[in-house]
Amino acid sequence: MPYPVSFQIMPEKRPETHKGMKKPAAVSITTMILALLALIVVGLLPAISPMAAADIAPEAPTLDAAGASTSALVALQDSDPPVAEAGANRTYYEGAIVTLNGSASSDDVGVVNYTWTFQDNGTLQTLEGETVQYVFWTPGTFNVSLNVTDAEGHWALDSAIYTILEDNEPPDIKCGNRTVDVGTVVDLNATRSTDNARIVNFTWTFEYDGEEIVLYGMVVLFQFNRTGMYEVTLVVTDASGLSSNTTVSVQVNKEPTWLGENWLKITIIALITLAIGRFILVKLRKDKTLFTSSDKEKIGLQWKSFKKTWKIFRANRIGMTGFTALCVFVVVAIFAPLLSTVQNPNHPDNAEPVILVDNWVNPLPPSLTPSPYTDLLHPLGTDHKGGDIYSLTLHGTRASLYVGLVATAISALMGAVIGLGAGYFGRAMDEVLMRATDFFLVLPWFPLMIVMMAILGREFVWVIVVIGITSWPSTARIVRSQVLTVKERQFIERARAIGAGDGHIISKHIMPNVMPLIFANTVLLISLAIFSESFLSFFGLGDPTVVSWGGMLEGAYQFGAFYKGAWWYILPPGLCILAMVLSFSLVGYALDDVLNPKLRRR
Amino acid sequence: MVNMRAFLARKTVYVLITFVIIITFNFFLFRIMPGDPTRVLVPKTGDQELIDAIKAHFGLDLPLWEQYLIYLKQTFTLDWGISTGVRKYADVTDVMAPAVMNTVVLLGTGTVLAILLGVSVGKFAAWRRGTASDAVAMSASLTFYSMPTFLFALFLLMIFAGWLKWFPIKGSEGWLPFVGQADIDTLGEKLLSRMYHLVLPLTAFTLEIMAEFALIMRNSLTDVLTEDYIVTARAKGLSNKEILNNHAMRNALLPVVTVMAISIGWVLGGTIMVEMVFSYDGLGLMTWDAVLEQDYSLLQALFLLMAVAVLIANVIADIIYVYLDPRVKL
Repeated sequence: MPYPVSFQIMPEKRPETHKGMKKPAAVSITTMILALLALIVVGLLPAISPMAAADIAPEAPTLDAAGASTSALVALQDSDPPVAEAGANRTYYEGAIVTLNGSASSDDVGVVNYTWTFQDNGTLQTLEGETVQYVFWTPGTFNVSLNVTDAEGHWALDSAIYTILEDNEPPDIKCGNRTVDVGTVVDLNATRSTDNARIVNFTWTFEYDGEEIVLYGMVVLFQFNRTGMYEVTLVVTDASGLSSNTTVSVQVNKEPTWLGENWLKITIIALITLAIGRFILVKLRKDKTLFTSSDKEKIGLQWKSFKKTWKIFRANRIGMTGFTALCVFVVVAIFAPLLSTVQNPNHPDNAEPVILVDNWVNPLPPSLTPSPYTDLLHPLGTDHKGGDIYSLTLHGTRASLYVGLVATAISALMGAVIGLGAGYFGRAMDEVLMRATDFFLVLPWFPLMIVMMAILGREFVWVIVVIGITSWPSTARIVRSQVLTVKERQFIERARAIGAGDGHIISKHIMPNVMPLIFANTVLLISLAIFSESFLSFFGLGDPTVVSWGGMLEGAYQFGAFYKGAWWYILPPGLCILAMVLSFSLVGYALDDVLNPKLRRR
Repeated sequence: MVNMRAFLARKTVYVLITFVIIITFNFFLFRIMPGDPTRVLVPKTGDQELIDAIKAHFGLDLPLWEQYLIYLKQTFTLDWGISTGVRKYADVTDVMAPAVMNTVVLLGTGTVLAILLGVSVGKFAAWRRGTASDAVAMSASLTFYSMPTFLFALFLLMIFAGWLKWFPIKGSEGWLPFVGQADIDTLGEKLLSRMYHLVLPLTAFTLEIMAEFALIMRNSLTDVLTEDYIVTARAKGLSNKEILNNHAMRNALLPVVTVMAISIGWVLGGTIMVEMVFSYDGLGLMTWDAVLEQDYSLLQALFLLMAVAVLIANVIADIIYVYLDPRVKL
């Protein structure tokens, strides 16, 4: 289905530090189109008027030209006076540059002289030229008359009334805050500032390294070599001397260090290593060797029971379908850079140019001919910014799986701890923890997620954390009810009789009996987490720098792909979300069937 | 019914406590946000004096506990502040009022339809369990259940509004086929136009919510049908229809009610997504606008309203459960 070509023009890039949520892109596209139309109309106006004049006397110019070149005929006497056209009456604010345009005037031979006369501030002003510019500094009404003379000395008069209003409005400043790494040249840009008349001065003042720095200009460049927060005061003055000011903050961050970027990974790996080390130490102190024969037997038994469970699971056709799909997704996520045609597909440098000619327009339908601009193949087409849908979809797998697994780990951990605490210790603790759980169950988690994301800001970490901490109550309830039944069993009493502590009973007797149930529930939670992530991204609350399916859909929705027929922009991410959520649900239900003894009997 | 009265009294106390916690939570959730609320209200040219004046006017210079008390009082008197973004300087209650109606229509109609449809589909599948029709009904339900609501709504939008152009792309009123935009005058036409705009959102919403009820209904009815008293009923010579409607259904409906209570939050999420995709002027779309415009006072009021609605719905579900199941310990 075709879509308007004017959509090749993209809304300007959001500044990176724009903290707020994304406004619908449609608005800026519409304004741009309107501006474009206005430009075209303004550009055509002068072109239209002479045409109209030529219609009135179509013969004259050709006759003239013929007369001049062939000279067979006597040169015609130009007896017609010219037609003066001073333009329409206009209204400006004081201090604005007013362009007096007489180019709509016409004559059958040619106008040789344009004279503009008017009274300004008690003096008679005379300006010569077809288009002249003048600045009215005092408000009032000005009768500007245009005298047009042709080569023969014929003349004509026309006048236009220019109303100059007093300017009481200071300029409106548009300049965003910036966050940059140290050592980069920052362009402080106030180009989008507007005034009803004209802005004459931009002054940027800030303190840097103990000195006061003052810069002038609409766009100024400055290299920040010291970290810190700089409050830049921007004063914008318009022609009538009114000024407004604003403070723009420039946050100069340290260059991201390797440690700064990887601290989370390092911590996790360190914790895991510590846990393994402690396990080995305890084991060695207790048994003197790492593997005793009873250990071997235990592993053998566990392997056997695992094989049995696997056999039951394999017989579950629905579960196996979901499991196979999941394996495919995991492989795709791991090898996404190898499989995709464009590396780092979200980066604008890797996208097709936005303004294009010929038949190559963004979004481009699936095509097997490489792009003439970047030589890239787009088997699933491009998005409206020129990014490759195929690569974006492959990379989106990573975000979904990552959020799904980490957020669920958080919520399962919280749920397990709270459920265990409430179920095992009972009494007051149970009451308090369960009331809290009930409270969070009653809270509508969807609006809660939205509100928390709106407050915390669009960052990938927050997406994970918010999903994690809004989905634990159901796990807590399941764990608690299971702990309550296990706690009353005889082997717990026996363990206590031989002097086992709470920690030992929880870790050795209760956890193994509760874990399978958490496991099935967890897999179901993963699908919910993936769903939530895609929804948050679609809502415009996800991290814009991370490729995700929800984010792709957001782009498609904002662009209007849904009614412009750009199906290739919608289906790949949409079907992938559906497939992944569905396969996790299927595996979850199958696991519930297999691991839940109550259901297995059926 | 001394028991019942005690139960209701206990429930009321519990609801009141939860209500107070929700209000407190709502107050502090929006207090921890970074940024100064006066920045939205003060024009860029405003000086410190103006900022201080506005702070004093809104009581932002008071200590936190005093602000909390004022907040409590104003919450109960429905004085929820002024909107700072969506409709600048309008009363939040005035901004929300028209949207509440739209959402109630969508949510109410959708939920009733979903329960009726879901229970029927579940009943149908359970009675014919193991057959092809059961498999089809259940896999369709599972797909709908797993499909993110906004995705399903987007697909509907793409097919029926974008491609076939049968339904409008956005809005909740104002256009009718064969009549057009300008000629909607009579009340009948206005109603028709509203219904016409409601079709796609309602379909998306109903099918999504229905799926869960169908799955639960089928599961619980399959369980109930294996119970001994069903065999007894059959031995008595009752017809299949009588067994199903008079004996099995009453018990099988219990889990549905439980699930209904749990999934009210989910249902509300469904409306938000559907309203957003179809630009249907309800509370969900307003939430989105409030987030985009960083209109925190409106967002706070919306969140409070939704939380309280879910709380009340939960209580209603609890009471229905007690009436349905006499075995429940009161």
